[in-house]
Amino acid sequence: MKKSVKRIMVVCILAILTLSIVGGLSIQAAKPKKVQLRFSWWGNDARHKATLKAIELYTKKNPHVEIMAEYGGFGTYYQKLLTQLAGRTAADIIQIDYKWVNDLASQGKLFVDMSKMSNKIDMSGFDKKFVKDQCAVGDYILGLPTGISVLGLIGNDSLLKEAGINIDQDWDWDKIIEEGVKLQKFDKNKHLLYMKTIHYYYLTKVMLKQKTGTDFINDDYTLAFTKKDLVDVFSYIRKMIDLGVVPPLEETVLFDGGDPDQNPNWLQGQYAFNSNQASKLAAIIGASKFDIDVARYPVPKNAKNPGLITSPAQILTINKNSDHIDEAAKFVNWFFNDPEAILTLRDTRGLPAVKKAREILMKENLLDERVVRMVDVTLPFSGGAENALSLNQEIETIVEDYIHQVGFKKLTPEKAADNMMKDLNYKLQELKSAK
Amino acid sequence: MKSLTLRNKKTSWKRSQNIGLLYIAPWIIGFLVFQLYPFIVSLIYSFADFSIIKTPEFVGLKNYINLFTKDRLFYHSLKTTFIYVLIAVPGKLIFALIIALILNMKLKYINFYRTIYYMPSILGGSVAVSILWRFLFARNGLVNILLSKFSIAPIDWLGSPDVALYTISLLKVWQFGSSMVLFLAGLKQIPGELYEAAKVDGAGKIRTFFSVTLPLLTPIIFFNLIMQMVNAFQEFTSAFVVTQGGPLRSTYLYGLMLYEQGFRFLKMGYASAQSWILFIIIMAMTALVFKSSPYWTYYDDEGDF
Repeated sequence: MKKSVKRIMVVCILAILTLSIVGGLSIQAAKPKKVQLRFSWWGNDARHKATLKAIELYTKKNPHVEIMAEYGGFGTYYQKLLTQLAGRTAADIIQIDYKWVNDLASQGKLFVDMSKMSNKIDMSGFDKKFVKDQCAVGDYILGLPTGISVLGLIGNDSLLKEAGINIDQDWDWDKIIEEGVKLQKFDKNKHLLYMKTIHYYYLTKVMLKQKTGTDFINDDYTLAFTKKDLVDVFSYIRKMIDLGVVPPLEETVLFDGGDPDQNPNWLQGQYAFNSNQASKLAAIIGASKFDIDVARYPVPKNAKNPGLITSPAQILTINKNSDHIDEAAKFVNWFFNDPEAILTLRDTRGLPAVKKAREILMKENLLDERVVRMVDVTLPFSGGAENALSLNQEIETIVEDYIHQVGFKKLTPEKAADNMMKDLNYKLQELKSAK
Repeated sequence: MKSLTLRNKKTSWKRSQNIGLLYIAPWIIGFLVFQLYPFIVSLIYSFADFSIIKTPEFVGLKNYINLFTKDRLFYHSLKTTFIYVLIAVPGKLIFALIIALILNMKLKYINFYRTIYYMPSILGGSVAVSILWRFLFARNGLVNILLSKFSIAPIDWLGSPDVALYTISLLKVWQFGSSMVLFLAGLKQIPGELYEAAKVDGAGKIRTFFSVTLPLLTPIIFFNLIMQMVNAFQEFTSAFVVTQGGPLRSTYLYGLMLYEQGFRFLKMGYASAQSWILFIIIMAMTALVFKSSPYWTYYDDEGDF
């Protein structure tokens, strides 16, 4: 019994040894090494199709490279990515969101520092300031922006025209109320502006920045606004709800997990505007059976800072633990700069961040004019990059909780402001002491 | 000669033991790797500051102290979970028992009905059904459309903070199949002569149910209660997929908070501490039910095994 086990062991070891030697030889014999890369991203159908086609093109030209596509929805992407990073099984090329930059950078250098890759990736087409502000922590550049995205208003133009509301105006917060009331008079069941919970959060951040001129949380872990500022914002939200300018939260919170292209009320034309990122525009146009037009997010005349949110659509990174960093960089370079790649990917990752890509697509008439216009009308009103604390996820949940307290009419704006500032200060102390 | 057979017996016993171990090896390996190891490791992490990517740093009881003294949502999510368990578990057991009683009757095509009624339990936990529920119970969803036929004003089943938790509990009640099958088996075990005797004594249908059926079913009720309670305390899918813990955190179940701390805020150590508190709660509740069982369960054979 024991002898036979030994014999089997010996045979096995011999087999493994021969295989590895032979395998090693064969690898040396083949000229360009066979390389397998993994590329993970999230997105909608249009993006998946375009990216898969781009990968096919690339691997046809570089037959020694095989690229495994790992794609899906945004919902659980971050959780999966974190688990993979922890287990060192993350893909070689990884798409990340700009909101994760600070959190991920605080976990150590997980991604190749792009500032040291300029000899392998042509970065001349990127706006240097944009990359440094939004994709880097200090001098460490985690990745490169795929596109430029802005927060703006996406409008159901058919409904707006029907109700006699002009979409081409210099929107500010008073006009939103005014036109919202007008739409309610036109039809009691229609609402001017549909927002998910996270967009109420953006509204709060933007309004506070417009009032104070800075990010709503300072770098020294203090609040950058006064109680009056916050009460004003909460009262405004309450007013929107009371006047029917926005649909009741009871109706909308159900769809917080998706975008308007999955919301039956939007698709049935109940809402005139949706506040959203420009990168969502393609999907929303595709799903809506009515005319879509765009407008700039509201900016009041006396704003201290126009405060509008402009960000990378996504960020493409290279895994520091990748076995083939050079090959990954070669692909990333092709992905951003090769005309063929540009013509395949088009605006599926927002308006391309690379200047040459925008020019090529413009010349070929392949960019949706509305995406370009939405970015163009917003960029002059950009509030700049937000600081790490203003993008912190725990801070976000606290603010969203109190927006719900106001929206569901459980707390008055004053009481909600008091409690929220207390909770925020408390969390900020905790974050400061953990540093 | 005698010793030889003995040795033969011994080796054959040993061999059959080895084969037995081999047969259950997949389970043992699975248990060690996927249950025992995570179980022990999570206990260790619960005393550490751990973000799954960085190396854990020992912090003593800090996670537990923060949970009990500082966390703004800990008690809220505990309370929500207890309410959920209190609604969902009895609701499910009563519903399962009623269906089991109906399916125990001698009807035509009874097996067909039994299969049909078991279906929700197979589908129930899936994401697709959770999404279906969201559409059914939306403000202009099918349920409200049906209600409007009876001139009942629309109810925000999932959108209202006062109602959402009940709707989520209903999803659990709807998955009554496995408890129902156990009840059905229990009902079949009750000797027919007891019913005949009750009939002779002049007991009505309702009296028979409470004096004969229910007492004889108590062991099954006991088993179902324990299993469903343990499950309900760990509920996650429905609250995550249908309501994301909202509106106003009214469906912010403990499992959801645990997930959010661990995977959204990267506080794995904190989440581990939370899961150990849940473990202790479940153990305590189970012990309580076990302790109470002699007072309300009835065993034909005096409970001997």
